[in-house]
Formats: sequence, structure tokens, C-alpha cells
Amino acid sequence: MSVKLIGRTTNLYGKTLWEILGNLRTTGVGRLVTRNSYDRYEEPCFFKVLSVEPTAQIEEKARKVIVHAEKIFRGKHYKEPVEIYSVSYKPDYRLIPKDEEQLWWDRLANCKLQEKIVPGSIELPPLMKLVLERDNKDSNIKLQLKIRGGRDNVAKSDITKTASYGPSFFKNQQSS
Amino acid sequence: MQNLCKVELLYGKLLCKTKAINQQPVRYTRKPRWLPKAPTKMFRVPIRPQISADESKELFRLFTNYRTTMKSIQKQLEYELETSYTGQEVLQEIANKEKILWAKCMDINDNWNAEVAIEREQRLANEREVQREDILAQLIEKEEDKKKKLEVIEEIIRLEKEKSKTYITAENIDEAIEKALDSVVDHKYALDLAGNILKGNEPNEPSTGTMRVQSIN
Repeated sequence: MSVKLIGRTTNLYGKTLWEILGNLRTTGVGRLVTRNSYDRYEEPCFFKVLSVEPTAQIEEKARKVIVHAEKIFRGKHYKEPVEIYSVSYKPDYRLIPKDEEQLWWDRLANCKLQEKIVPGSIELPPLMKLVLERDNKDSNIKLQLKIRGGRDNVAKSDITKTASYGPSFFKNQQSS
Repeated sequence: MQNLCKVELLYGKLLCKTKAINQQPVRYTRKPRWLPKAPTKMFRVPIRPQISADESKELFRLFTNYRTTMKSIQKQLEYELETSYTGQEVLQEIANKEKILWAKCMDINDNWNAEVAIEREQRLANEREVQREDILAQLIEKEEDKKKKLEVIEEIIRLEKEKSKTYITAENIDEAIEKALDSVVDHKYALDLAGNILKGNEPNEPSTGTMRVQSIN
């Protein structure tokens, strides 16, 4: 029987975390769990469950659960374990079967971290340059590009490179 | 009261007229949130925008670059704004301006001082002149007083010198004693109502005007 979906499309397909872990022996401690929305990345992303603590179910809503887990995101093993609570209700999780676990660890070992090098500075915008020249100020300066310091940000700035406003500039800088 | 009503009616008419011209029914431009979904849109499923992987990647890259660049431009503008208040040249310029202003103020002050000094000199000279005249007048007055006093004293001395001719001294004491003994004066007398001097021990006896010399012994 073919299934016909009605209504709006959703990104979430899978099970909530409690639906998976609540049915496992010892609540699935030591098992690997991944999110379906992480499938968009080439690198392996998954969690290794360390501890599980269910919370009370409110009415008919999906039960939330406090899970402490080791997080591997885009081939990067986080040093500190993370807590999953506020997103644990999302029907987005998938259990990795035991026989595939080694495959995922191998993928992690063999994965090549993505590299992204961006220029460290950029030329002055043309109008700004004109304004500075008009005011008899130093117009030969370059603006420093500061990269946002996020945990998952892989971009690294190359101070020697300078960006300009040419049309094909950005494509040359992009490297993955 | 009637007049007031009339006025009100007149205004009412006027307002009605203006209303007919200017008033336009204004409806809300957007459906309020608390109203239910329109019946025609009830079962509509919005189509998701289909963005290909390449395009989304490109969009991500463009937006990231835009944000980073805009941030650095904003930072530069902030820096320029800050230097426009606290830059070395700006501070120097402010200091120079203040110096020029100070010099100008000092010039004005000096001019005022000079003007006041001239006035003060004039005033002090006048005061000095007045004081000098006062002192001179006082001196003259004192001199005159002194002169008058001297004259009085001279007069006293002159009189005293004249008197001193009749003084009894060691030289003429014998003569004076003689004279005193020679002329005995009887001070024991009475006065009647007519002012006649009645001398002697007999008051009823009218005086003859001749003095009767009595012997002491």
C-alpha cells in the first residue's frame, strides 16, 4: 500500500529520543544514535549515549528526556559530553544498529576534516575610499576580516591574503 | 440659548458637508492574528521553495561573506567616529583652539585693565589734590590759631609785667612795710540803704566822707 502524505512537508522523520532509548535494555547506554537532519553532511555525525534520565510526560506531548552523550559532529569529536534535553522531543533520531557501529567509528577515523581558508583582510569599499581621500585621511588601509568564533566554524583566516571586490573573487577563495 | 443652538446647528451642517467630501472608509490592511484562517485558504498547502544544493551553498557563502565584510566596515566606521573625538590631531586642534581663545581673552582683559588703570590714575590724582588742599587749609588754620594764642599770651605777659612794677620784693619790703603801717585801712564798716558807708563803731553817726584813722594800738 502506497502512502500518500497530506499537508505540509517536514524535515523531521524518525523517532523521538525516548521512543528509541526507552525500549532498549539499560536505556541504551553505550549505543550510538544519530539524527536524520545530520545526513546532509558528508562527515559522520552521531552521539554515543552516556546516561539517560527520563522526565515526566506532559499530556499527550512527546516525552522529553535528559541524555548525556558524546557528540561527534562533522567528523569532530567534542571534548566535553553534551546534554540533549530541549530537542529530545523531536522525531528526528535514528538508532544505529550494533553491527553498523564499527562502520561509523571507521568512518570517523578515516574522515578528512574540511578545511576552509579565507582571506584575512579586504580592500576598502570604493565610496569609503573616496570619502577618506576627501577628508585627507589614510586611504591605503585594509579592513581586517574577523571570523566568527563558533565551535563548529572550520574557517581559518589567512592574513597574507587580501580580498577585493572583483566578481570572481569569492569563488577563488572558496576551498573545501 | 437660542443663539447658541443656532451656532451649533451651523457648525453641524458645516461638519457634515466637510465629512461628505473628506471622509473615506478605512479598513484594516491586514487580517488580525486572532481571526481564523480564511475559508479559501483553509486547505492550501504552501509549496516549499526548492533550492538546489549548489545554490544553497552559494547563497550561504555569499551571505557569510556579506556579513563578515559588513562587520569589518562597521568596525572601521566606529573607529573613525571614535578617532574623530579622541584622535591625536583632533585633540591637538582642540588644544590650539583653546589656546587661541585664551590669548583672545587675555587681550580683552589687558585692554580692560589698561582702561581701568587710566581711570584709576585720574581718580587717585584728583584725590591727592583734594587731600593736599585739605592739609594746606588745616596747616593755615593751625598757624592762625597759634598766632591768636600767642597774642593772648603776650597780652597776659604784658599785663603781668605792668603789675610786676608794684610787686613787693626784698629790695622794697621795708618801704612797703612802712607804707602799710602808714596807711591803715579799716574794713569794718556798714552800709545803709542809700549806700552810704558807715564807718566806726557808731552806726548812727553819718559818715562825713573823711576817713578817720584809728591807731592800732
